[in-house]
Amino acid sequence: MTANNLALDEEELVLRDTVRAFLRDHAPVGTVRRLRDKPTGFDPKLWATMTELGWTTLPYSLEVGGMAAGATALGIVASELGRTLTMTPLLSQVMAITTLERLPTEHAQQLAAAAIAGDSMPVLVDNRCPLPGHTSPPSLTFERSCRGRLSGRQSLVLDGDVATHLLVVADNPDQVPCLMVVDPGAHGIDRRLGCLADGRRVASIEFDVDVAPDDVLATGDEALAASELGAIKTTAVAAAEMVGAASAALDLTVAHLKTREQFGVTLASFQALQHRAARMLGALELAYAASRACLRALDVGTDDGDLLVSVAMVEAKEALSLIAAEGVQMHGGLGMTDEADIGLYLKRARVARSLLGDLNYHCDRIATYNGV
Amino acid sequence: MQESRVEAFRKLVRRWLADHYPPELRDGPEQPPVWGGSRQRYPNPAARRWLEAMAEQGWTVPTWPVEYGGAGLSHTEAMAIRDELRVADMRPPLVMQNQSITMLGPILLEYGSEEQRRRFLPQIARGEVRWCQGYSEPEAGSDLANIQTRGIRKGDVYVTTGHKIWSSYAHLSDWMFALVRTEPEASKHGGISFLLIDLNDPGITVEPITLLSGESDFCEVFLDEVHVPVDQLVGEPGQGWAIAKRLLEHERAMLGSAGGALAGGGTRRKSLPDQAADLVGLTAGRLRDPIARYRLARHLADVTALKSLTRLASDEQRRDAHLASLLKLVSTEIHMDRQDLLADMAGLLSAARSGDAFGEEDLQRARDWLRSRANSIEGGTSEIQLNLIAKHGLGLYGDFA
Repeated sequence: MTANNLALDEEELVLRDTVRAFLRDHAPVGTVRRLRDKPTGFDPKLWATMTELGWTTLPYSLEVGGMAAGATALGIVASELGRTLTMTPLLSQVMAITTLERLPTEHAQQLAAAAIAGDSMPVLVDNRCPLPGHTSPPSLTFERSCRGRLSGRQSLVLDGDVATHLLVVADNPDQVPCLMVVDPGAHGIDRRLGCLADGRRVASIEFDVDVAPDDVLATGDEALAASELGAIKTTAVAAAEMVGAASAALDLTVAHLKTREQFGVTLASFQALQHRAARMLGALELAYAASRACLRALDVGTDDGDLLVSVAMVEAKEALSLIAAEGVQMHGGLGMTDEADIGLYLKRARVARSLLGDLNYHCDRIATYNGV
Repeated sequence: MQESRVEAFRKLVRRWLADHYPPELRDGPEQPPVWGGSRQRYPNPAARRWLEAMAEQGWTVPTWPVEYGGAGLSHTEAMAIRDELRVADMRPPLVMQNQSITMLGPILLEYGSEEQRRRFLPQIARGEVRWCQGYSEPEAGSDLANIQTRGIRKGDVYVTTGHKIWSSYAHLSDWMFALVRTEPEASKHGGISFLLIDLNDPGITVEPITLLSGESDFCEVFLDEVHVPVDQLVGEPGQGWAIAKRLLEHERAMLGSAGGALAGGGTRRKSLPDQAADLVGLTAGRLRDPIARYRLARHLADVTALKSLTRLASDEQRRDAHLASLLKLVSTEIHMDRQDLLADMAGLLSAARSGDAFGEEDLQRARDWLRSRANSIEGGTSEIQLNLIAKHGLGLYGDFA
């Protein structure tokens, strides 16, 4: 990474091309049709291979088995996964592992290392969706000061179905947030599984369990800072994934315009469609730039990272929504079917729109950042 | 270029600027931006000294060759100068985003003869001559190739007659570069030549056009048998259309990057969030109107993203044909959105035309909103830009365009 230069350097370009080629061969668009009705919503062998190749471990420190490669590199991988709509637990893992890595205790570091090695799959359960500033009341409460009983519920936790460890953030009676690790298989934990429109898996989880003091990994500011970092990194990566999907959806649509003929000419000949496609490209370029800027800011550590993450989310959600909707429309009858790939992008867009904070949420953050 | 070399250059620039920037520019009489030319006024004489000092360094046009008034620097080094000026809050000696420097200059460097370069470029570099553009005509706007202004070759002049419109600031300019039809036998596109015309020549009348906002940024230029010497033809007879298209690319890039600054509000006023707070009011640190708050945030997201795109394009040294059109389109729309936001927040107060009921700020806001409607029209309409983006960015074009 070339400090503060938004252009991808040689290494980053090679990473991008390598991941792209790999996914084209092993998980092209359409794979999701095969996976969406399977018990596990992703291909564990593919995920394991990606872990072996180091692509899932890029941003983490060397001490815990990562590659210390930064957010931009991970964003490149995420973008390629977005292009092919490949299903992986990447987002939940970035959230959990980044959080764990930030905690100084040996317990937390061990959990992080195990997850990075692919031996476990921790999932963060935190009602401050995902970034601080959210105002809805806590849905999880912790009975006594860092020991005792965890009760409450959290709905639609991404990859909550395959979690081997649940990292729960809950407030104790003094309103101090505590971050604790809970066994999802324990008695007193009830999971209802769900499959989202794009095939991703969630679980709504009810808690009524005892928690030992040793299982509390952090409290107060330490807990908040760690989960906040996890949330910011994940949001940035999610934006990159959305941009990748938008880019591929646009390619698909433009190809369709150039080949489909009606009235004796290709659809590309019609100015109305040319103009709409041009606007789609404009939205994509803005989203792409916003995503790259936010990832670089996180790598370099400038203090506008917080703002840029929300800007990237707004632009990425809008671009993906626009492109997917227009894409379906421009495919005509074909766009209404399950057979056409463009519909898969629409479903991804639907989920992306509401994931990790909607437009209102991120605009609220942007306004707050700007002092209004 | 290696980072350490750029850094060394940047330090050099910083030192030179600190040593030579006249302090009177900060606390002296108010000086409007310097566009150069014979009609330029300097209420603050330090501005003229500053221009001369920077011109002597070759830093008004840093990337031009030294023999034409530049400093022979790279694009990166030129950006370093620009950045250092900005960081030190120093005004550029000449408005950089202007026709002479960013449009005509590169054209003369690319297509002009050596004699033309030596004759015209140094005067631009020193801010002594101001140029305007003679392109559009009443019957030739988006369909620019439809120009009718004719230049009939007689000996060593083109006798030129016609009517140009939308020439920015022609009434403040010394010279005009113009598209003139000199080859009547050739095709519509093939008969156009690129001529350089002295606005002091007999037969020329310049009339400002009043816009919706009351301002007069554009002019009509009437040419009545003006004798334009043949050595003021740039390139070959009939090469005008190719040159014009090339120049328009530079214009788009200029408007795009100016629009980036414009979209961010320019340096003139309070920041948009501050204006919003003044107009709408805050409760517990938040704008009272939640819808205005959302719209403002949504707008700021676009402004930030546009800045990132401009920066990314520069870092990647992108030259793709559709990018200039995209930046022009997006920046103008963002700026118009900003004006819409302010209009809605200020309400009827900013729908002002005149009178004591309104403050100066209200009147200015009203003018700004009206003037901004032209942003999506001037410099190539948004519809034309969309055509170009579709064609060059996506390969979409055809019979029904």
